Amino acid sequence: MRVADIQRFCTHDGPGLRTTVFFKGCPLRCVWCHNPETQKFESEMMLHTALCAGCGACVEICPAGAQILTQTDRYRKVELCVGCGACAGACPTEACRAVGREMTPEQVADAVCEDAVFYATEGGVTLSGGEPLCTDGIEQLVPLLKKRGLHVLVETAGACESARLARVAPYVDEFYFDIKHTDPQKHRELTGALPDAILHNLALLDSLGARIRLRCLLVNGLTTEKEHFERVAALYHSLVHCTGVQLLRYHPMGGSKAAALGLADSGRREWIPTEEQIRRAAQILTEHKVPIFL
Amino acid sequence: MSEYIFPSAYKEGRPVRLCEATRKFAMESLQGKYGTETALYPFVHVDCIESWDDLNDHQKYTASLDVLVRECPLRICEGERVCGAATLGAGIRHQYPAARGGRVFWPSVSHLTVDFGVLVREGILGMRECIANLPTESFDEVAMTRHHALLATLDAMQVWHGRYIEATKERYPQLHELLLRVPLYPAKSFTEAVQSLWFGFAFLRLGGNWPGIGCIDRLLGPYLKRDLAEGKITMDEAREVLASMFIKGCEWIETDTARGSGDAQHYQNIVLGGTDENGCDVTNEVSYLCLEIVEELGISDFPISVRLNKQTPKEFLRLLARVMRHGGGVVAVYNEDTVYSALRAQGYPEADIHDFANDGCWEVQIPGKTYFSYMPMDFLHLLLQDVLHVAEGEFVDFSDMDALKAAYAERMKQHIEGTCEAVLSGTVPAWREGSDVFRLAFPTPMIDLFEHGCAESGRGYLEGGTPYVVISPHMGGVGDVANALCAIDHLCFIEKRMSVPALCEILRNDWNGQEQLALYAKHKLPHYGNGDAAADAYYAWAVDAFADACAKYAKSYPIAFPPGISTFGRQIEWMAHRTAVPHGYRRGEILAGNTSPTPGTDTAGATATVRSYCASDLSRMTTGAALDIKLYPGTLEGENGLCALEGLMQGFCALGGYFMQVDVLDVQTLLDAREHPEQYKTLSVRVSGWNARFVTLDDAWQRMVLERAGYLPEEQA
Ligand code: SF4
Ligand code: SF4
Repeated sequence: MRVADIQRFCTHDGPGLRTTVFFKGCPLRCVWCHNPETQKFESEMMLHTALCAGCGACVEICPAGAQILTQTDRYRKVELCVGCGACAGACPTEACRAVGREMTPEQVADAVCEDAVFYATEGGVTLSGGEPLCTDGIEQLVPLLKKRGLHVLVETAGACESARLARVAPYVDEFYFDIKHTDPQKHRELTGALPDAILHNLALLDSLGARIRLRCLLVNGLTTEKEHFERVAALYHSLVHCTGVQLLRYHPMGGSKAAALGLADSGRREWIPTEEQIRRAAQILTEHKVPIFL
Repeated sequence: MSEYIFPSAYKEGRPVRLCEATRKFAMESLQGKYGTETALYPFVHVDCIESWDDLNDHQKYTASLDVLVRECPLRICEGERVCGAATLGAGIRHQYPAARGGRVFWPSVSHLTVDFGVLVREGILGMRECIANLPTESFDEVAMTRHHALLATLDAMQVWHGRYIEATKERYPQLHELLLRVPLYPAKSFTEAVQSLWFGFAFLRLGGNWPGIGCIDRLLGPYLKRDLAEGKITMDEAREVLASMFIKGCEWIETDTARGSGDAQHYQNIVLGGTDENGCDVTNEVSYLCLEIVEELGISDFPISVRLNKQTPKEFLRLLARVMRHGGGVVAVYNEDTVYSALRAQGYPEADIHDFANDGCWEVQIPGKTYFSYMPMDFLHLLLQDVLHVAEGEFVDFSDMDALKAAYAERMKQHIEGTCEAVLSGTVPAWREGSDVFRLAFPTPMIDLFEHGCAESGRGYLEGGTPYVVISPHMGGVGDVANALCAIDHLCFIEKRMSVPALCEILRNDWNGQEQLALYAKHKLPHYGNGDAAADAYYAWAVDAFADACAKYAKSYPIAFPPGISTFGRQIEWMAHRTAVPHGYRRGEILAGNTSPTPGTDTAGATATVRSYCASDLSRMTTGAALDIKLYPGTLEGENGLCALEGLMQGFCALGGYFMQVDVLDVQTLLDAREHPEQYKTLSVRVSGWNARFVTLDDAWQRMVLERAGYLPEEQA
């Protein structure tokens, strides 16, 4: 399994105190992506210029001449980089860093269990990404975590193989299921894929009796229309085991990570939703008798 | 809604339960109204006392105390529910506030928790009778002076009390009524018990002493339970009464304090919860009220520690988490299991173990029975200076890590032995020649009244009168010792980059010319505090080696030297004599406090830090080992935030932690407080085991707090 990061003491990814595992790789390409470093399935290099001490070790070691360090400039020529990882090994400050660590399901479970003593009754582990359900080994990992007595929560966009989803579902305590957009064309524009397979997976999960919370990211001008939330309400009512809808706010922080990857800064301040938009979305859902989480 | 807003790191602010008059009183007190007033009247002149030179020290003490209680200003505040005030400013400076020729002449006592229960249960008159009836036939002349001093001190308390009775007569009928009964007689109700406790506390502080209160819920809980059952008081009324005591406890906060290492507290600790000798949890209504009061007012002047155990009620833990979330580090926790093991191993009788409180910071002691002090020792300096000889340049070439560790352990042993022997031969020569009295520094009859053993033995608090005399060697810099050992092992033996002398030469040059290697050591090598078993093993070794070094003197008589870990804030003053360290920091950089990781090296989060801290056998640290954890308010939002804090505390206990201080800091708030100190008068932060108002800290301290909060000043970024 390729792990982008394991974060501890998480309080925003499900009930209680949790450890969140971010897996690498996602088939979708949401324009607003908060975690661009988890989009690709392969390991990648990141350069955090704020941490760079300017020692030149990476320049010296790079076989491709991709590391640029001058009086005025500090960047990595992404098109030259062959991803050998030598710079990350040489860098004394972790300014150069490889994201994407190979781990076995056992290793991931062990890392998660290091904090088991802190989870109390409510907490546990959250599998996120990327799309965790597209990670090889997830079918081994999830039952393993369950066997160790942990509360397992999966954050998914549902863009995965149905058969795999069905195999994993019995061991998952709760799914946080992203609804990117309810208009098929817009869904494609914004994520690069049509929603059909995703909606099919959502219905499948529900038929299996999985506990589901829907999540909608509010992106100003992209996912804030009235009709969208009316359709979300309809979707909620079509499900038997859905506990409600959570409204999330877009933030442009993903942009800083895109920059570290050598990509254009994708963060857009104008996408931050207004309080009024959030209030309205909540109001529509409430009018349609949908329980909401803010 | 209330007109008075008490600052909180949590965005939803603090609850409002107390009445507006009480909140106004709290705001005034916290903003320094009474402290400023107190500072203006530092002491009472006792030049009037005749034949001064013919008096012995105890007679001088009690004669001046008599003048002091007659002449000190009285203070009765509008809206207060309990009466009495320590109004002499020299007390704030830790001095006995009597002066001859315009100068004070004695210091006062701190770092102890006394037993105020004696006063609450027996009253002044009961105490007097008890002391007057003690068998004194065997007392020599010295002991008799102590005996008379105790009686004279009780008389002085009564004179002071009489003045308050008189002063409340006209305008404060309720207080007057209360004072007519207590603390003269045993308390019969909750309100009387609070008044009695407060009066004793204020009396000791009037004499300049800084006592702790200790297990207040054990003392007051039964009174409140009875009153509630009999319908004599409601919880709301009880909260107002107790709040009055908390607010009055802030009467030493000044508006403009000299900046230094922080002023906000005078070791007036309170301990809540825990189990009794039957193993039952004692958390009661008073425990809840105390936490509710600090939750509402953010008062940090009574540093509170909660004794956690498997029976701690869930609702109490929840309330505790809520208080913590507001920041200020007002409430800390003990893991009772570890403390009990430590105290048992030290040989304390079971009955005393269950009473434990602390010295005002967190060093555990048996209240009302212990003389306590500690000896701070910089163990990082010991490594750099006495083992590696970095500054002198006469380096030793160690063949492997075991040889280095052995040399260091031997040096620890010598250091402890030398220090303990020096104390014993310097302090207790008289004792060695057969006397019971081993230290005559200055008289302490006010304290002796509330310490078991003193009246009975005719010996004072500083003279071996208490059953236990403890001077705890405290290991400082353990986090950096661990990181230094780990770095030496990696650079010199595992990676074989250089010999130990070569590394020492680099340290002597303060890493100049080796910046890249310094960065590597600082960022890439494993560090203590990240839950990394290999790195934590160096820490566990250091703690064990220190405990072994202390073993010979830990239970010695008449002074015991059991070990503990602390720096409090000394990592700041130690900066000056420390050289650069193997883990990449240069001379003059702020290093780790208490048992915490080196700032900037703990990147794996709070749970990992707790795991690392618990990787050593902390029950060997008899008087304690404090861990400071710092969290951001953003991670503690809503229900989940509270669950997270509870989980953190439960994990801390399950893994065998000793003492943990959770502070919730918001970097933005702190930066803003730096810019506009006048707007943040009451913003309190806990720094290394005790708390202080942020604006009273000088620049180096503020920088440390900011760095702990994850803020890197420009020159480092
Ligand atoms: S990962 Fe890329 S930038 Fe780094 S050394 Fe290899 S080629 Fe150069
Ligand atoms: S090796 Fe690291 S610190 Fe040195 S120049 Fe490269 S990125 Fe910066």
